[in-house]
Amino acid sequence: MSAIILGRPDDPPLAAAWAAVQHLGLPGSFVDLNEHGIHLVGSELRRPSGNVALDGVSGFYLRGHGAADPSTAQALRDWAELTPSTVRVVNRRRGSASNFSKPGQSLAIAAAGFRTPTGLLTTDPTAARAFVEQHGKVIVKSASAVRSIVRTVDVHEDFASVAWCPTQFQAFVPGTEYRVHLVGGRVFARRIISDAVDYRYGAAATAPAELPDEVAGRCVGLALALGLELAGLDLRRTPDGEWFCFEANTSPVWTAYDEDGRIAVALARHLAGL
Amino acid sequence: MIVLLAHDGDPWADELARRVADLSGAEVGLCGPRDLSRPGWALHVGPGDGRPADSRVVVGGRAVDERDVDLVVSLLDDVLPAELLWIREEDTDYVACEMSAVLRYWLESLGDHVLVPPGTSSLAGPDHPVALWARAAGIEWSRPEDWRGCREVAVVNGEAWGDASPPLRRAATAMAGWAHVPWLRAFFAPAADVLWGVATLPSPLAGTDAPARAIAAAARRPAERGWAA
Repeated sequence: MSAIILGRPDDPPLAAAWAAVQHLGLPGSFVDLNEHGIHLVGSELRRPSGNVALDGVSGFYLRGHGAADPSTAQALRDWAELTPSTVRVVNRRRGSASNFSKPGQSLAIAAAGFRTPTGLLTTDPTAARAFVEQHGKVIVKSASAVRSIVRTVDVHEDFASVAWCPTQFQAFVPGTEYRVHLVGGRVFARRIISDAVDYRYGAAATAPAELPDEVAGRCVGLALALGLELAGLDLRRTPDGEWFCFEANTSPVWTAYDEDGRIAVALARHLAGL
Repeated sequence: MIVLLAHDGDPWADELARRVADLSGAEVGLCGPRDLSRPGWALHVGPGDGRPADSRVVVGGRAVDERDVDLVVSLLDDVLPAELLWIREEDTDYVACEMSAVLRYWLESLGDHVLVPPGTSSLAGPDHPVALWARAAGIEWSRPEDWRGCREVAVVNGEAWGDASPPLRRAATAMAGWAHVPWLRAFFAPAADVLWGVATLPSPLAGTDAPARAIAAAARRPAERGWAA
């Protein structure tokens, strides 16, 4: 049983996970995908700095951004995909791809018991304006996994450009924002303190939070339904006490929410099969 | 109406649509990426059962009430940036992703009104790793660097086409059965019984008759489907 972490050493989530593995004295290896000459032969990773046997791996955590050879990263993902379900792969294809379509993912989110925002996918400028008029405060955001800055929409805007590309409008949901990370069945919640429509691009702070048991259960159920060993959920609790979930991030940069290192420890233990 | 999602200007898709119309007597429309750049799409997302009465899609340049669509068949894996010739080049990656995301939502929300539900990253159906397909068929697999000379076997409803050997035709048929799909294209090495790739798509190798019969048969089961109230 050992944890394998693969990617760039300067990738914050990977670096933090690896530091936790080492600090806890857990069996594991870090594979620097910046290194040239890495290739997979069967279940052995061969590299100039020393080979790594992948048989017996209990957890596999790969973030391939900026890998020296993207085809090697892909070969490693393919290898992981074929491991038994007992190997904790962060994250397998099905789960990873679930947010290629955010409205598509919202179907699973709703099935998990969360409220989801009312939205419209449209190439019709008239329908877009009518949606904004109906719902008052409306935001626009990408429907795919391509990152976009969420912004509010003015009813007097020129909606003509939506005809070129289907655009996702969502009725704004007021309330308190939470970011919840799931590691296996463990839940780590932070409350977001920000006035920005998209806190990622505005001033924001976070504070520890406890979720009601029922909501935590829905989070665990959603991650399970999506097949995610690690997930970052964007939740909002309305003034009426309803819980909305906007998205399950399948490759979260959780380090920004892990001041106390609990996520890193949980992830290291999870990858080590504990 | 039966809607075939296909890359714009695909002549085989055009032919298939005509054959499906002949066999089914239904109206058949082709919907391509160009339609996703036309005014008229309005898909509601969020709370509520069934499909709102004012949901609309654009098929063959025409806005269509979504409730008039009985069956959707995807003949494309996703929208490719390179095919969006009417979009500024620097925007094509983003627009292709958005279009694929919207189509995925539409297909996933249609339930039984889709012939083959989308796969993990393909709008056309299951897109398992090649090793899994090969394991299902009990054959070897490899990742080719040069696809020249590959042999293709097309399967539709258990029948195989292509000039590959009987064992490869049986392998391809086994893979389609394992994945519970009405059709697929399997690609093999030129000189060995080694699987190179699989696509859950009907192939021109099979002509239009067999795929059209599969689509027409699926469209004739309206009693098993219907819009939710």
